[in-house]
Amino acid sequence: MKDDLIRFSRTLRENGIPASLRCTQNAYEALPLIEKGGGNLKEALAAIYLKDQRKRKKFNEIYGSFFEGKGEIPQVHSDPKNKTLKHRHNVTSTHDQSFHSKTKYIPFAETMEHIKNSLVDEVKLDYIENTLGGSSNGDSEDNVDFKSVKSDLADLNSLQPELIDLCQKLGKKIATKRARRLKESKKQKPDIRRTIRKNMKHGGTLLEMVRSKPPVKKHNHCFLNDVSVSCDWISLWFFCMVYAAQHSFSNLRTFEFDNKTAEISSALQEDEVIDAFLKVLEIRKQNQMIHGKSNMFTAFEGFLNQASLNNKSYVMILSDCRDWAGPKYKNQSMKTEFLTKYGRKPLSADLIKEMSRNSKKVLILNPEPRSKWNVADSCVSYYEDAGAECFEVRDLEQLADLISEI
Amino acid sequence: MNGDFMSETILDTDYVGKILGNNNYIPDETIINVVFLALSLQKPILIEGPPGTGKTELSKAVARAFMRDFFRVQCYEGITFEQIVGEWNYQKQLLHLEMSKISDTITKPDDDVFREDFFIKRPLLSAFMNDNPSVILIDEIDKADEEVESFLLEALGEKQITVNDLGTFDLKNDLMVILTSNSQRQLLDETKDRCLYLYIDYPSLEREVEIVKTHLPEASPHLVEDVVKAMQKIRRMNLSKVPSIRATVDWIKSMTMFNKNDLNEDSVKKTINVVIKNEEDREKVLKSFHK
Repeated sequence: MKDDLIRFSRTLRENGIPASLRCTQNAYEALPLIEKGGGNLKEALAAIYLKDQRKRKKFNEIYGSFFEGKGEIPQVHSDPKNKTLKHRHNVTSTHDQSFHSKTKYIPFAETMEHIKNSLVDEVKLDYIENTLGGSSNGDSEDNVDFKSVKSDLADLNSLQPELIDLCQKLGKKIATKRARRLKESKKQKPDIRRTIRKNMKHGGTLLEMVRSKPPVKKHNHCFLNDVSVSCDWISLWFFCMVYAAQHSFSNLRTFEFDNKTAEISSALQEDEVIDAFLKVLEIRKQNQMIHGKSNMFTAFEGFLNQASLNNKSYVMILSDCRDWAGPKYKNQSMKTEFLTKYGRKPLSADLIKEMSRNSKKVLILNPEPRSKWNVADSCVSYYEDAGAECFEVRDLEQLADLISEI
Repeated sequence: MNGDFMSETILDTDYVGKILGNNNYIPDETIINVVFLALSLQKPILIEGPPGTGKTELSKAVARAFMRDFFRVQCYEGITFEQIVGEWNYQKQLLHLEMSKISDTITKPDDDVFREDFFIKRPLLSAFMNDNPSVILIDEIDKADEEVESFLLEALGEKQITVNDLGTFDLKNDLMVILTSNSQRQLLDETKDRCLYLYIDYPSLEREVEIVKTHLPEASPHLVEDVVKAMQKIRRMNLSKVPSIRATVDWIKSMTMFNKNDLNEDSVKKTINVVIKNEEDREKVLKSFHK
């Protein structure tokens, strides 16, 4: 029976149910007790091995085939790509390794590639046709907005279990950080001077302790959310991120940009995400920011005028870094230091430099796969050279990893 | 006395089921098996499931059934080690230090103010140090921060609690730990690994009838059956807030107060607010009864 249990644990593990050594040991200890106490082996093993009710069905299948001879043991769907280490650098990757930067930080190489590549390629082809070809489709704005709301929400619904899982993981990390900060702010050091003064009424006898006041938090965060046509495919994802962030960070201002910048902080205060989204759409319409082409130079210029950055500011840019319509350096096309492999240095890189200088940190969260960076009009390496840190964030898992990394 | 009680009784699943039933808790087979295993292996139980399905009640029933002392930690966002384990009594420590200043050398008390006398014990430590077998319910652990959960690992796995400046306390009794969670956030894998897992879903028709009968023995069986059937139907209606077992009991109570013995349109309209807590849901339910 001992060997059977070990094999059972292994089968569970192979099928995605995490059966630890402790579980196997507990199961082994439980076996004689179940027999003696007239217990149900299946329920007992489920209590020991299962830690998530959603895996109950799979457990029942495996148990059935293993102990009752019903059906076959489910096959393991292993994907060698999936086993790639999270922090492995792109040894075999074919993308441009950015010859502008001497040291490049590549935190999420190859993660989740297998899931998204096919979808993204399709969407990116559309994008290239749209941006390089010039025009968006002829639907009315309302129609397009309605369609995009519908289709994107439907997509989210179809991915619900995974999405909830990832959201929970991310939320857990954020909650931990917030709790720690809260606790730190409560644990103040004793204020000796005030304590002595307060205890004067007791004749100098030390009876009451006065703690120092918590330091005033001066950090502020600015989110810059790209809503240009090149980011249409990911706009709802960006929106969800800034909506969630609005309720998680203090002193947060959120902006959207295509070739201009508009602040949407007030719209995100809505309790319902749909109401907030509708308000944001309204702001976009007012500022004629529907399917606009990227001009990061004018957009960042507008942002720098609106947001008063200081050394406590964190700027987070959610963008694919494709400055399609932005001005580029002229008369220097032959100098290699101003050239990417495919284009000229955009003037917006100077504004990123200014942002980096004026703020504590500039982070770019890029939803494109790393292999697409620095291809065509992508300015990732220029922005990195200007002082921004660029991260590939294509799903909640990567976002959660990013938060723990920074 | 409690120790004798346990040693004299042969623990098996039939006994667990029977004794829980005698203590107003109607368990299903899974619950019986998990409680039996937890008692036999001395493992903590992690109970998950929707609100109002009897997670908290199970721990109370176990304490009653096995005559154990009951301790409870109600978790919430921001709960700290101090509120679960204990904290130093600063005032007492300061007074003691002042006293040591004025006393002469003969009557001078011990200088050490980091002793057990100066430590205020909170539920977890009290349960650990209790002389009688006990049950501790750590309710809604998912609402506590991850740090609290990490700290609990030592208590759950090693059966020890370490307090800085004071030392490590070993478990002094046969303590059964029950954690409940509403899955507001995922618990740590380490916590789950140390516990037996029990998922309590909404009960089947038969079990719910039994539960209601235990709570309201004087209610008419016909009414109980009707209400429970209606409740099972309501739970399948995709409402924003699914009514709990508690709501079933309350519904029957309010029907009895209105002297209604039948579940018709009028009685439902009068009493549905006890069950449904949302206007949209209410309309949906009333519409279904109207049909």
